[in-house]
Amino acid sequence: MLKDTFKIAIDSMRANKGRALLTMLGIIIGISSVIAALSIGQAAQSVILEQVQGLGSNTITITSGNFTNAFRSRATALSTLNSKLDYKVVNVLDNSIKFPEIEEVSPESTSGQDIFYKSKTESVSVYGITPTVFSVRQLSLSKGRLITEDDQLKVKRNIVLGSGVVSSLFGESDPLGKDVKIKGLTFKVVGVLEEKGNANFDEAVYVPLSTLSASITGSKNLNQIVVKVKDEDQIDTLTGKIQQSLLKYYKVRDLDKAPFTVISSKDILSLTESITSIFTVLLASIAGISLIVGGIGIMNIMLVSVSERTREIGLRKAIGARQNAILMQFLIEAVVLTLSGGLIGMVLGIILGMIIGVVGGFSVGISISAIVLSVSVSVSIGVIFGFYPAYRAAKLNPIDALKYE
Amino acid sequence: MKFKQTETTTQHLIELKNISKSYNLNKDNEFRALKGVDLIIDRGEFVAIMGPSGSGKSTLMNILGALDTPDRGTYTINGVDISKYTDDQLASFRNKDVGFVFQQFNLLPRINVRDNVLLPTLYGYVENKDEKLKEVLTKVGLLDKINNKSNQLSGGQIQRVAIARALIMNPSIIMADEPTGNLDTKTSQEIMNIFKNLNEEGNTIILVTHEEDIAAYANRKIRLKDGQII
Repeated sequence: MLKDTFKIAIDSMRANKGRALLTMLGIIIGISSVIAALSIGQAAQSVILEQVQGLGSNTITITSGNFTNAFRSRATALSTLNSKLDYKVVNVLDNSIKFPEIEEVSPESTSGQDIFYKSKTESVSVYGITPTVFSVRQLSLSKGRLITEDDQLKVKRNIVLGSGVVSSLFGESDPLGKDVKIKGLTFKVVGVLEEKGNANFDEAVYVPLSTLSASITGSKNLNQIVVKVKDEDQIDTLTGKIQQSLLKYYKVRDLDKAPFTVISSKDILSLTESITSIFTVLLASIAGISLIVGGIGIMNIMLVSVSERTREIGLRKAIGARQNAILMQFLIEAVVLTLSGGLIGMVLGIILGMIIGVVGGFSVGISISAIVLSVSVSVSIGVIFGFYPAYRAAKLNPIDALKYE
Repeated sequence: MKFKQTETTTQHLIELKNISKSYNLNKDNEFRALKGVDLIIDRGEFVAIMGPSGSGKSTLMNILGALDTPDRGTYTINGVDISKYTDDQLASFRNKDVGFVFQQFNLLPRINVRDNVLLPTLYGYVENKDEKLKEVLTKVGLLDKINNKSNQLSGGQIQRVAIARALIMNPSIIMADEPTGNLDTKTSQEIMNIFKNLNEEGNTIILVTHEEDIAAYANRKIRLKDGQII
């Protein structure tokens, strides 16, 4: 019975190939865009999370300005401009008696600059750093040496290059010992970093913090202080401790008015996770609207099909088809339409996701959930939007249906 | 279940008692299609129901064929009163006990002769389906066309397929509604001879027609006028 019903459904689809395809188009577009949106969203999410995790899973970042408030009111956002994060704050934190949980402190200042080598130019972030940055940020040396305490104390114009800068300025040749220019000043390349896979660090160069303030920015302000915690379990307590002692330092009573933000890598990770998943859901929902439109198309064509085949329905009832048999026949027909559309859409969606992945430079995989989703969604659409036409067919009076012209 | 096996020899096949049926034409007007019809049909009869349009012959056929139920009265067939059956009960009854042959043939054009004849078996059970299929196609002389689609057949052949379809479930009655209405004279005679042979083999046939020469094949004529048998 069920096998025969499927055969009837497929036969009727074959008899109206063009119409079936046009009807399926809505479902095909809907499913393929949902699948593409989901797979791209998931891939993008994993790329972003990887980058965030690359920043270190056990760090706390103190930045000047109050970001929790910056979104809320423009007044406080402006007040952050006056706030100062400088080396004195580093000295507050660099206290192994008060903060035994802290392993290392890395004060950082950045400045966007053009870097010159011979005829080549590259826009990069110039980091003013102390030697602790390399362990805190998990940057490893490819060749040469890192910035040392000596460079820092003597305000030397030595520079360590990120891997991306090396390839665009030097290509295959060895940059060690070469001179590059920033703001007309000559810096000597002492080291090259290994690729980290994160543009923030690969497209950057590193000079002593003292050199950056003296020669490039002319300011002692820091952009951020990154603290590496000894034990990951202590990250939340340490974040709280740092907030309290900085409030005391700045003589501010509560965090809402603080001129700084303390955020742990754990917080950043969960924040990023929630933002990217909201983004993915949003993208998929927009694509999902076309599924509703597709479903209405299915309902429309099934109503046409029921009306065209009124006599057939009348005959089937006359020779003994019960209402449920007719209902099932047309429901299965609708489901065969939507499921075929869904499977085609799924294949197209996966291909689309892969193409976008190749263009965007991240890997998009075939997920089992995408297959389960497209099958279950397209079957549901068939059942939901096919029900009303099938119900109408089931309820037809056989006498009237047989007389229908 | 079949009622035929439980029958007693004294019982009539069909017994209509005081059957009435009305239709609402509009809010205030009612059309009384049948006005207290009594009718008995025995096993093995070949009955022609005749009458002008509006006489109630279609309504009577619909009730006899269990496509419709009467407003009043009882319809007993094989000793069972089916006049209060629900739609699904009627559907099962039609599947087992009524074989329909229509003026418009009503074959499904996309499927072949075999599947058209077997269509009623989708909705009910028949023993030895394949043997039965061969048997009924042999009776109508179309065994060689078993794999043809109905659009490859002539009008007469199509109607013969429809007769085979009506026979496949071993029905108690065969209902033929103007079966020759769309056929030429020669083909009509062929079809009517098939019915005649089927009747001689013991099948009960109820024929609805307005043509006297077609009705002449039947053993008994029932004439209707204004919703009553005359």
